[in-house]
Amino acid sequence: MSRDRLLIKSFEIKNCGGFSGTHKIEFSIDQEKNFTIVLGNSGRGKSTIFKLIYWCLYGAHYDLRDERTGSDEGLINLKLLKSLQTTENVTGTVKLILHDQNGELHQLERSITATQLEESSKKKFDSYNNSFVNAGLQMEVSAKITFKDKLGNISLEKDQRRINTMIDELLPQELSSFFLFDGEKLVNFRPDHRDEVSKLIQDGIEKISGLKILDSLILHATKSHEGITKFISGKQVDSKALQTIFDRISDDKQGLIDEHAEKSQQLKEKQDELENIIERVSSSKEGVRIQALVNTEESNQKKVRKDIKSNDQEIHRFLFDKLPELLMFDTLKESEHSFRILEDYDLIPPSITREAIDKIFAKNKCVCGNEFENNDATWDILDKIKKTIIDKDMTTGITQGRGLISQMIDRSKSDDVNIHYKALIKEADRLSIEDDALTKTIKSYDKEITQIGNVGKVDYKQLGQTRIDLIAKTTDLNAKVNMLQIQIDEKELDRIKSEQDLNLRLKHEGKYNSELNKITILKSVVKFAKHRRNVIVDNLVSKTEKVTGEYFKNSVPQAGEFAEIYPKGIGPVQISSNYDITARDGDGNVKELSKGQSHVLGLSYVSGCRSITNSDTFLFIDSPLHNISGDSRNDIAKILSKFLTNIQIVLFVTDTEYLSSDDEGAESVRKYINPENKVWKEWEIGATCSECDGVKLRKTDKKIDDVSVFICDNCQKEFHKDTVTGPRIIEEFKRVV
Amino acid sequence: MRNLKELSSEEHGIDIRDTKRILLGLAGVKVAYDGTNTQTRNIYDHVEGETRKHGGFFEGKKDTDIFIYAMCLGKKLGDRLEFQKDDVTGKIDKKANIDIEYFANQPEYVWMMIATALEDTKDPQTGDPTMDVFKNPKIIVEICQEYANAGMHELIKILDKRSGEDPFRGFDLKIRELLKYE
Repeated sequence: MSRDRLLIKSFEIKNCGGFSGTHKIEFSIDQEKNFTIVLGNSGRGKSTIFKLIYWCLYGAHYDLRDERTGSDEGLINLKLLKSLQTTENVTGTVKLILHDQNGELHQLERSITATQLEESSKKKFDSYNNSFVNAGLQMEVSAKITFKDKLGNISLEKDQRRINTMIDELLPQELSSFFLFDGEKLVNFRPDHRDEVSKLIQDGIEKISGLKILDSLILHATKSHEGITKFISGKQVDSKALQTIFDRISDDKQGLIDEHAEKSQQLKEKQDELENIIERVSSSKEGVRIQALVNTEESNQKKVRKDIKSNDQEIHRFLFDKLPELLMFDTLKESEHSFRILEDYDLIPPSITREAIDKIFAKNKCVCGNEFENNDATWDILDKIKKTIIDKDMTTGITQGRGLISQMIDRSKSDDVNIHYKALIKEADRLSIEDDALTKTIKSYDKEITQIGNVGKVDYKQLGQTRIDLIAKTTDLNAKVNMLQIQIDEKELDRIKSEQDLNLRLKHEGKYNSELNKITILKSVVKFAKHRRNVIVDNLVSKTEKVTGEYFKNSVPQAGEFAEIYPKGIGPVQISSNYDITARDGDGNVKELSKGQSHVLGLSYVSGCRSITNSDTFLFIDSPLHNISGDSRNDIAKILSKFLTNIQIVLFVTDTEYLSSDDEGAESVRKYINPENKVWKEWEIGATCSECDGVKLRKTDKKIDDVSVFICDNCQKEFHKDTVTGPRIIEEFKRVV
Repeated sequence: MRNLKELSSEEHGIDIRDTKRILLGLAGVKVAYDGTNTQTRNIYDHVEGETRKHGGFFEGKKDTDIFIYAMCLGKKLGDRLEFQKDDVTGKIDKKANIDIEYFANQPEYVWMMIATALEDTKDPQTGDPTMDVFKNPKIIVEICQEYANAGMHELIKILDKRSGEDPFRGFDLKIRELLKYE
């Protein structure tokens, strides 16, 4: 499977760090000659370039400082910054051209502009420039990136937030140490830095491999099931009790329906019997006469009972309408007064009210001059006016409301209500008396029938008595059937309510069970994801361990002291479950490493952990050869050239580290990396004379404290490490291949 | 609190166009009952059933009718019952019952509520009415539902006085009491 490549084609700076003006470095995108070397003596600005690449990519500082750790050196060239006059500004810019395997991908440019707003003798720490600056300075940061849209057109994006997102998707900031590798970290592979290296290895395996996504799944699934558990705790619902109540009510209702059917049947039978009796009664002339009287009175009673029902309805209506108004009478009266006060203070619009009309009445004299008492027509007219004003809405709004209140007060005057109520009660009493009288009359006729005696074969005494009994029974049964019907209706209401409660509970119960299911599923997901994570980690550790071991065994000095590569041996490198990396001898014992061997182990790991990804991202290493012996440098060079083929590698090294051999037989690193077929280009960062503008300093054989001395061929002034303060320049190294 | 004279000089009255405009000020408000008070909740459930009860006093009537009855009874008693806080959660549980829009077709009920609130928002020192109910119509509902909360207990007592022969007995007794009818 082909692996994706991600490269930095070029780096350009203007007025940043020790560099004034514009400088550019191009890096190799060649797959064969994959090395680019950036040479520079100590303090020339190699690390500055390394850190500016980081800043350009992420808009953040590789070595973020603060007021405690800050210095005057920041992003913008210090000399230019210090020379600013009021209203003047200077801009520092870094530009990167990014490529993938298909060619140019992005041009990314990030700038910082300093403007001298006012003169100031004070300093302040500026987090944008990452340094102390004059307090009168204002800093502003901007960025832009070109990208191809869906149609292949080149577009420009200037929103820093979006730019950062685009870059982070391409080159995750948290993984930056694996493509912008600080060679100083190789020190951590020594036995006395175990904690730091374990963290580095854990990051390499867990972040590069994408385990973070699995970790996120585990975290979110755990949070979700914990959240649901908390949410439903104490809310356990069980519908059984409500189901029992519902079943009981349904059974009760069915019992009533059965009883109603039974009594109805009995009633029908008795009514049939009564019909038969009535027919038999009518078999004599006297019987016909009496039955006719009974029919008449029963008809009268039916009418009276209809009137009773009608009057009862009237009473119901009266009670329903009047009670609220009577209860509110005092409040409504009081509110009338309140509205009038608000009107007097011009807080609400004026209205013509019942009280106003009553005032006119109270004067007994109309505005036209007529006396009310002596002129009925005037009373009538005023009454009409009152009705029109109050009953029909001549105005709207608060007037209407006050009108309604007036109407309610009018309607609920206790005298009027009393009269109405008494009339209704009186009527009810009258109808009741009438009904009782009719009942009594009908009963007397029933008795009269028994007194007819025997007519032919008909015994009226017995017939009459049977009729009386049947009437009593049908009346009783009728009452029972009616009562049962009411009970059935009430039971049906209870059943509906109970069913609603039950359905609600069932719904909650369903939701509760659904939540329980969710918890079970989420717990299974967490369990499975954790298991898979362990399996993946084991595989990744095993793979990293294998490749690191191969690189290490093939490059480390005194390789014979270490175990053979699996499957022949147990493996020269082991990574434990807590990410502790160790080298092993042939018996599997931990082997103590020299400084050089530790560096080789570190670089083997940095190279080895790339095998667990499917992408060949560039690898820029700052000071990989720092502070190690000539032999070890040779070993590291071997690893880099031998194992990391096809990967864009940029090394930031000193000329001594890169070019020098030593007395103990170590060759120059350059020889191992082989400029003829591995190195695409070598760049040198030089310094210029601070006295003669643009004249490059030349290195002499002279040394002070083992550090080379430089000379300006123009003014012959000598410079040592601390006095080289002239502007830096970058140019291609004049190499001899 | 500013007195009416001050108010009058500062504001040139409030133009209240109609009942619906006042209802607009209550848009989205629901007349609620106290869900925390188990007794009140049960009573509401019970009384709501009255609208479906054959031959009952509230048969075929609306929830708004029952609310107003309860409010009027509470007001007559002078008894406002605040919503209780739940012992465990410390929160008030307002069981939304009736959309205030349902009162739009019963302007008498709205003005009964306004009158009730108007009397309850009087300046305690001067006894003068204030414009509070017109400035913030939501307090009308707040005040009235507290009266209804209290009145609902009285209403249930009235309903319980009914008998098979006289389903309206409790209401009949109440009107006799109000009319001082012998």
